[in-house]
Amino acid sequence: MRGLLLTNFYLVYRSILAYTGLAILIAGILLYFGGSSMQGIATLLIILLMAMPSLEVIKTESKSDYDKFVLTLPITRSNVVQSHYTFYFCIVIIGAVLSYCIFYVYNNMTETPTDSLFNIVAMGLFVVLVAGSIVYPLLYIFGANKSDAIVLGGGIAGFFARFGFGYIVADLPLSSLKLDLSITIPILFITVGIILYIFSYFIALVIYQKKEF
Amino acid sequence: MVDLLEIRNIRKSFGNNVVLKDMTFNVPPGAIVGFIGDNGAGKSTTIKTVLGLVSHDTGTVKIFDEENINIHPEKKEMIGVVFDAMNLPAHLTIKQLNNVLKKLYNTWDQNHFYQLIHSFHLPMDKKVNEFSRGMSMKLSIAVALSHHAKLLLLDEATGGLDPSSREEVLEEIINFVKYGDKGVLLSSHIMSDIEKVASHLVFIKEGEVLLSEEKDKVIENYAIVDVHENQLPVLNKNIVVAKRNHGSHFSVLVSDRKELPEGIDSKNFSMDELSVFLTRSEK
Repeated sequence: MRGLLLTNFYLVYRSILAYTGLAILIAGILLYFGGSSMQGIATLLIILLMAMPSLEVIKTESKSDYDKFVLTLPITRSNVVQSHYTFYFCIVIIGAVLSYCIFYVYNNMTETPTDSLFNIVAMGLFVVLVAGSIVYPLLYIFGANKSDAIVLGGGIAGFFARFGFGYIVADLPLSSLKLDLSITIPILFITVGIILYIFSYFIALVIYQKKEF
Repeated sequence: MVDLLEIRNIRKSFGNNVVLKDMTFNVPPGAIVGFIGDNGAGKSTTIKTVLGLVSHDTGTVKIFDEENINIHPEKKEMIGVVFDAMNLPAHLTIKQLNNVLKKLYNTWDQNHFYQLIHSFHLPMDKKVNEFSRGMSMKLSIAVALSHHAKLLLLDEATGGLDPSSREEVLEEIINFVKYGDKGVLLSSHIMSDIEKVASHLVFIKEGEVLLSEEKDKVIENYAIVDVHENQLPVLNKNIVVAKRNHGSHFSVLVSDRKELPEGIDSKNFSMDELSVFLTRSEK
């Protein structure tokens, strides 16, 4: 498993670094010109751009037929799926930490600091986790040559899911429970995102076990 | 001694297209089995079936006497694989590849790997996807030989190599089996390679085994005879392996030249001629 994660890292670390630079630049521009109204989009962009290269792993593996060779190594098929999901999750978490850092700097520099940073980051995490949950099983079914459309579709589905789940949460009687909603709602989003991601892992596992190369 | 690889009655179809029909052969310890057939004959599908990359409809595949290699990943430590194209992760350098493989194989022999890399004159800091086909194949072979495998599955591994590199690779393959406990399945179109290194021959056509025999027995006992159509019945059916229709006469491959009736002269053949004969023949 560590060997597979290291392979994933070697395959896309240059892209991750490039996308991180791009994410910081775009976030900086958005926050400078758009101010606090752009905080949500800036956060989402940082996490999404960071996560993009890890979705490229499957495409890169497939291009060189490594997806076939990897199964001749002393690993199981479930190890391969685990490595894809773990790598993506790690990059998403790094993206979330990076956006926290950017907003920390932004809050110290601006006169209108954001007080809902946790909420913004949680929404970003939810979107990319839903996107990952959709993208991986579809990549295993349709193959890496359809990856651009699948990744785009996964991202859009993530956005829709964020608003859809937002409406559901708004209808929940959370205020009657006397909870701190600025903490509860983001935790709810993150928890649901992780549950969907885990559920997707098991579906992907079933698909990958039956895949022929 | 148990066969390193045993394939029994394998059948595989993709939809209505049957690509492997009752495929049966084995790789005993100490053997280099030349696996020969035209493009599309089923060589790559057989190797993929052995490795569990594709499922099979019926039959059994045993590696080291175990079925279903996918549930015994530790057994894969003992298998070295080279496909017909470079299948290693594209953006990695040889150093990075070594880092990865030593984490994946418990038996990874870094010193031997670097020794092979050095003897194959491969660059350490160049990305794998910048390698020529010949360099890629040499790297794949170096990987296959660097984790103390007992069985090598080589799918057109010598294709695309210059004569000198091919010589080097063939020497490595011969060295690999010299102690008699390891084996190789070598699929190739290059009959001179097969002639040079193989101890056993398996010819396939349209997913069926036409001939599976020790190479020395083929050279010693087999023969091709040219006979007229009305002479066919006088040949012992048990020794007829395949025949080829030339219109007025037939060329027949027989498995025992001593069993030929008097008056029918046999002729010797090269491996190339045997390969062409079998792939264009009928049973």
